[in-house]
Amino acid sequence: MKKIKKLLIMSHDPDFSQKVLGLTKSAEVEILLANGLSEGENLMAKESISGIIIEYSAGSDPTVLSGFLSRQNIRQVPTLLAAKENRFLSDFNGENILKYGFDEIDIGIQKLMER
Amino acid sequence: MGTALEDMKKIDPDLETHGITQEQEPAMFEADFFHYLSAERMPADFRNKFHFINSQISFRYFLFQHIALRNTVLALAKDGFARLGFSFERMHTTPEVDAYFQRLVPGAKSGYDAMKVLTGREMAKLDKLQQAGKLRYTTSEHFKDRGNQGYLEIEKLEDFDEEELND
Repeated sequence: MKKIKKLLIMSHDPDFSQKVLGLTKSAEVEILLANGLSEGENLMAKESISGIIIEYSAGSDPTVLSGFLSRQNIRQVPTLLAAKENRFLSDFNGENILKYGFDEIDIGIQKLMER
Repeated sequence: MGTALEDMKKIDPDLETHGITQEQEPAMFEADFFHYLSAERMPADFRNKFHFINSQISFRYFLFQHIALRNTVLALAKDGFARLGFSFERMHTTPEVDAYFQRLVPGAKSGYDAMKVLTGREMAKLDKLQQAGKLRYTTSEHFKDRGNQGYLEIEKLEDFDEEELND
């Protein structure tokens, strides 16, 4: 049985969200969009989210994302981090965290759906 | 950006707030002035005008981040402070844009790679100004390793000739 039923995409960039929506179309999951971490946190509190995709900018404050990822309710959810270059994600680690560059986001989504 | 301006005004109503944007949408927030223009082409009267410049995420969407950075430094008033989320990973890529960056940085694989070189040249200018005691800047960890991307904070200590930032 498919585990990921409700997927949360967190990004400031509509182009990124659109691309992920296109790539997840056939996966038949319910998708929620959040414009950044604050909106994502609010949705996490209300919804039963089973998968998360976060677009990370090299210009973002890494401590904000680290704080988010360390929360108990987030750590339990399979999370795909995407950045322009995979190496920008080296500071973020965890059992449920997958990391992919933008050029491999399709593979990352596939791996996330298999969790 | 509109939200931040509105919040700042609530904290200190005496602040004069300005927003630079190409989108109409932020005008829904309260600010004293909105300037509908690109950061790569700021008006001459912005020179030495602003005491605090904040950019959370906008730089990543610009086309010429190195020029926007230069303009930001020029727009800072003496004793002014800029806090920039500085990156360029969502640059537009079209054959025309790539060809342009090829001319600026021959051999670059993409506009993104060219921008690493171009922003490196701007940072070298900031290094010189810092050594001369005219500004002080700090970056987040890994800033240079990531091709000059991350958090950048600049404090302008002395005014300087615009030519010091020219190519």
